[in-house]
Amino acid sequence: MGVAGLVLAQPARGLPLVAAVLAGMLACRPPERAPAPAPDDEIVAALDGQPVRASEVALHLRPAPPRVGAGPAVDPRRAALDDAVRVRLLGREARRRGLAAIDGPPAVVQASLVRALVDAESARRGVPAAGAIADADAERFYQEHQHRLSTPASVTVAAVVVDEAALAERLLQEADRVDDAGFARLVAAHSIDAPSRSRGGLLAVVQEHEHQLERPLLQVAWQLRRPGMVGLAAGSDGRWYVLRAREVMLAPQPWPAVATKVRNLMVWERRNQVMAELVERLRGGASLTVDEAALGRVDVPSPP
Amino acid sequence: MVHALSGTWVRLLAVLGGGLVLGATGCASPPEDDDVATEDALVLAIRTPSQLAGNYARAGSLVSFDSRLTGDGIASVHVDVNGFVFDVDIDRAAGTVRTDGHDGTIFVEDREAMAGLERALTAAISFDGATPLHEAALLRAASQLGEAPAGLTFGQRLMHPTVVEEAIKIPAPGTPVQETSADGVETVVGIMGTDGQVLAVDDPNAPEALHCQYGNEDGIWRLPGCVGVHYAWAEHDATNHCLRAEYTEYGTGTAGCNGRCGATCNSDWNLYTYDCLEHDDCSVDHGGAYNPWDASCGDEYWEAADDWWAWQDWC
Repeated sequence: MGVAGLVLAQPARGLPLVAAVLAGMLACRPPERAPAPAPDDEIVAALDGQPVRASEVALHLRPAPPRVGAGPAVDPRRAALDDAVRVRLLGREARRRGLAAIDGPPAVVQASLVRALVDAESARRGVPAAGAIADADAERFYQEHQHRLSTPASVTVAAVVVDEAALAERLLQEADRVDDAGFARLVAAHSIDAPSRSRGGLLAVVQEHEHQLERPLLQVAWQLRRPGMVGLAAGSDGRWYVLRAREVMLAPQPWPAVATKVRNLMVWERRNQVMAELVERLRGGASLTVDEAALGRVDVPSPP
Repeated sequence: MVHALSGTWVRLLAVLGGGLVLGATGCASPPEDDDVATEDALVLAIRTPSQLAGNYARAGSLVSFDSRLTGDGIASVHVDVNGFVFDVDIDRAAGTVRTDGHDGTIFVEDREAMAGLERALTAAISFDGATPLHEAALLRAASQLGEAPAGLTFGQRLMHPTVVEEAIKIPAPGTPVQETSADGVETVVGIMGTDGQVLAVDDPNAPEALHCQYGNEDGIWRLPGCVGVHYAWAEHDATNHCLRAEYTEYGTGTAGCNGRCGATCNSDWNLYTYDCLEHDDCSVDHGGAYNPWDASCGDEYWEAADDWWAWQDWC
């Protein structure tokens, strides 16, 4: 049995497991290389001249999220590519800083480097532990974000219904800038759905397990957590629904019930912010070229 | 030796004494330009009759795990996924399972990594009646966390998953019955009668609701059968109304293996229960709960959590 095997045979339970396994596996083997790419594994991008293949992007793919807000639609393939690039850049930066990796297949090496960098950068930038956040700060955060942290009792949704995607996109932008009366004017001017149009656009009152909306509409409507929030959904009838929350009844949980989660979310947000800033800096020094046609051929999973 | 199984790297190192333990020799090479991962990877660093430990990595997420058999019918599992730590202590003689998430919150990338670990474990290890307790427990921990709603916070929980109801579950008389169209529109279509029949909403003989429950954690109820497509009465509550019942399809023949405890479908270990069916139904409506701020489906998940630790393989 090698020394490393002896270390791992009885890892100290009090130590973080990562450290224990790391101790046994620290870079004492030649790095394993990924197997040769399959012939049909297309190159979809190049990062500093190194190929990024479809299989790598596929690991990061998620279904397209509901379209909430007036921002552009998230392209799941582009989001996956960005995440793959993020992981590569973080791994590279961890190497540059001399952080330790767990030896093993490329995915393990890469993930352990990312984990080490997240920990190191979070410490360097002063991201607090959840338990170190003062009660007053956490409770204030909860009050400011209660709409995001509460499951609504109901969301009253109005809609402009159109049959052209481009028009829906334009109306989404306009809907984001108007009040109830302004939205009613958009309904009167554009909506082709007679029943909701006759009600000034009122489409439905959505409750958690009681709604008259088909699923793609529900999944957007349910995320409209403040009056005036807008979103866009495609109906199975081929029509586009520009949705706007007219009224939102929240069912907030008492502070003690959410205190721990709130603290964890604060740390998570802060850590994500720190890492996003680092990735932005790293992206600035890197060259990424994308083969849009090849990227477009990557399969996107369906929503659950 | 290195195996590539189902697109997953699985590495088992240095067989010793009937088990598998890590044997690492040599020294590190200089860093390569990029550590490029085009597939996930499972490393079983230690595998002995009483311990299974190693790592799993996917899409930049890292899972480290250590499961141990510490006595007759006593096992523990320790999992760290991107810093979220989950411990499980099992005592079969006492009939208890204690889980502890140390007040941590699980996020989407953590959940996806755990679901990947479940897939990788089932590809690498046979799970059946002869599987050691600590290895089965690791699989169940991976499966449970792999289906957790993003944003769920885990404290301590003591469960007694020994009593399993085998009967067919019929909603209480007076429970509203709903149907969901293929598009997802939910409509109340009837009232459950006293002998299991569904009455019209305006039927004068429809019984009053016997009770209005907002949580329905009623233990572990096995779903009868699971190969192919079956139907059962699933119930759910919400922030704004009492329980509703719906005759819902489940089984290996449904999309996503509805009713299976766990995010994956293809596994040689399958557990189908009413609570997991109700959680799956909620996840479909709410898009799989990717939003860590959203508490939707958290109550259904909590009610299903003990089901993962019932010890029969039911499919």
